[in-house]
Amino acid sequence: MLLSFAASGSTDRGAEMAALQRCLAELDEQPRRAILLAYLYGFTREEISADCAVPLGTVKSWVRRGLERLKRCLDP
Amino acid sequence: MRYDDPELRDQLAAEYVLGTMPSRSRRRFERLMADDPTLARLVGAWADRLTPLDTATPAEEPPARVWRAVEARIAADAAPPAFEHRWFGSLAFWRGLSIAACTAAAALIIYIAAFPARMGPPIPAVVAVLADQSGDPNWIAIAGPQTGEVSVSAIRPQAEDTRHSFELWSIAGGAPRPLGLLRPEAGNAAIIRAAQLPPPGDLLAVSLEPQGGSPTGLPTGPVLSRGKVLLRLP
Repeated sequence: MLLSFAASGSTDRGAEMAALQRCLAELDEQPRRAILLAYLYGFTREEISADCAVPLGTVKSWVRRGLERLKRCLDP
Repeated sequence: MRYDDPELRDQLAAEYVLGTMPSRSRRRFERLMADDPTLARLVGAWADRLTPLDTATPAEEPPARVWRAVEARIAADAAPPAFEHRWFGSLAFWRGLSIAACTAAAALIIYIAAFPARMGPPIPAVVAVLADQSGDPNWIAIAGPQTGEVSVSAIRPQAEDTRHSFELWSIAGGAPRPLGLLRPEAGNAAIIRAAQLPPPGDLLAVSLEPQGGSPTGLPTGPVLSRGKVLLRLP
């Protein structure tokens, strides 16, 4: 499944989107996947664990590490 | 748990916004937030960081493996009745979609990176799919027709007699709130305001109520269908 974006309301929104994309792209694949599944698809940790066939603790660590790195990247 | 550790506070705020906090922790966190404005500000900061993703909507074309699952199911049915949107009401389709999602999320970020400035009319986003107790989807909520609105309609006609109505409920943190009555005919949508939806991860439910809806403001009849809210609409 692919994503498309509605036209953004202002250049600020466009710049925020570009920054978020860049920072998401800097994450390792699995933390990025876990974050997107949770935010975009409403997956719980348990559902991510089942769908990606990894233990729950691994998902918790992906999410925690991913969010930490995302914050460092977005708030330099 | 020590709620005075700054790192832990920020981590919890992030998980609250992401929607990965278990419901009991979520309710506890909301009580804390009510008395702790700095915690609420951390949540606001995380919501701002992730908000740009809200303009992302899944495109209509499902991944190839979903179609293979659909084809396998159709092939397995002997002499299936002709029905144009058969895949839409197929449990295998929705299960396939869920299985494919882990792979799809990896593909999707590549697409975001490749086409950052793509413009055009937004494609209606699926906000929730409600399924009955056997897991068959029977109601769907999609964004639109206007910004800030959500259309909820039956995927297939629902059996309703003249003495009863189908009523839609938001169940946020376990507390039901009425959202209005639904039409039993397939494709005949009830429009609700997106602001009334519970946050992603919380539930929408349909109950059978006396004609005109529950007299008490709470569900009185059996809950026939339920489904998670998948998207936060702008």
